[in-house]
Amino acid sequence: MIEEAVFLIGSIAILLGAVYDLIAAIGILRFPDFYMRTHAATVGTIGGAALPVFGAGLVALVYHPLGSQRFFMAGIAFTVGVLILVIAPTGSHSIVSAVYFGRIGKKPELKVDQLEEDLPKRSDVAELVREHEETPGEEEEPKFTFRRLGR
Amino acid sequence: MNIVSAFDSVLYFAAVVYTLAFVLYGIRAIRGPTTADIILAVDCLSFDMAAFMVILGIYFKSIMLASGAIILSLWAFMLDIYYTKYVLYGEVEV
Amino acid sequence: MIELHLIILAIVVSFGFVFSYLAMKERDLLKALALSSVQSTFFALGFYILAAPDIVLAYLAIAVGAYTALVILAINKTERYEVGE
Repeated sequence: MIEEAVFLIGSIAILLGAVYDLIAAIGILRFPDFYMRTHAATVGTIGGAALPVFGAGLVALVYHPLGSQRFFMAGIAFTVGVLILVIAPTGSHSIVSAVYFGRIGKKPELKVDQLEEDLPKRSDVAELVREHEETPGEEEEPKFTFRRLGR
Repeated sequence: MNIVSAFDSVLYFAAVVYTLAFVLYGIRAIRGPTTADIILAVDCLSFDMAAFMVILGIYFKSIMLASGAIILSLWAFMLDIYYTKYVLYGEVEV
Repeated sequence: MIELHLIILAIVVSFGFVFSYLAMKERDLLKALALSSVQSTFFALGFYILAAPDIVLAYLAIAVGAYTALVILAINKTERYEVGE
């Protein structure tokens, strides 16, 4: 009785996680700009990866064809779940901060932008470029530091 | 309720939906206009692939197969951190 | 039920082929590196379905981890864009 209840909870978690994952994939394909895609991606990592892993750990506890290996399998599943819970928000935050402060791509129209005063000023960037600028050679090739000047 | 046959039908549905999601993430990684979109798609793809590895490891009845999920979720994190360090600071220390 | 993981294997390896071609034709080296990491992630699932867990462990550590770190370090020391024909 208790095994069937645990199996039912685990199966519902796996099915719900699969549906979450499909929704996140559709969102990451259809949304127009990067920040909205990030919103879909966080749904995909927590709801679509951490939840079914915990569900798989619960299923593995009562899945008898595994024999005595099922406790090891549940341990692996819970370890992966905790790792994803710690790692995935950190990675998403780091990518978004790289895109915002590095001015990659096109920024959408925002009504309130409270991080704008933390952006590097134009004079600082010009000084940084002047530091790294070399003597003009014969070939015109795109450099990494030139890209930071323009919006 | 037979647990084994019920888990087979659960895994059938989950495998179809996960494969469809992998295909959609791959299409975004092909179409992505900037590099950050591709990195974001890799991030989602590797975490979902780790979850799928654990679920499929129960079906194949092998704990050696499922241990690849830990490695995958840990190494995919390093790609984000190195991309951020390269873009923001312009230097990478290994 | 038997053929389902073979279908998944076919899809995954086809995507890996497409991404390796895109990474080869790309002029921006950082973007090529990201495409190459997509390819190695797909191939890892391919090796997993072929039931080779030791190859999965080695391939992930090299192709997603050490290769990415070394190539980003090399791009950092040299240039990002490929020039010339």
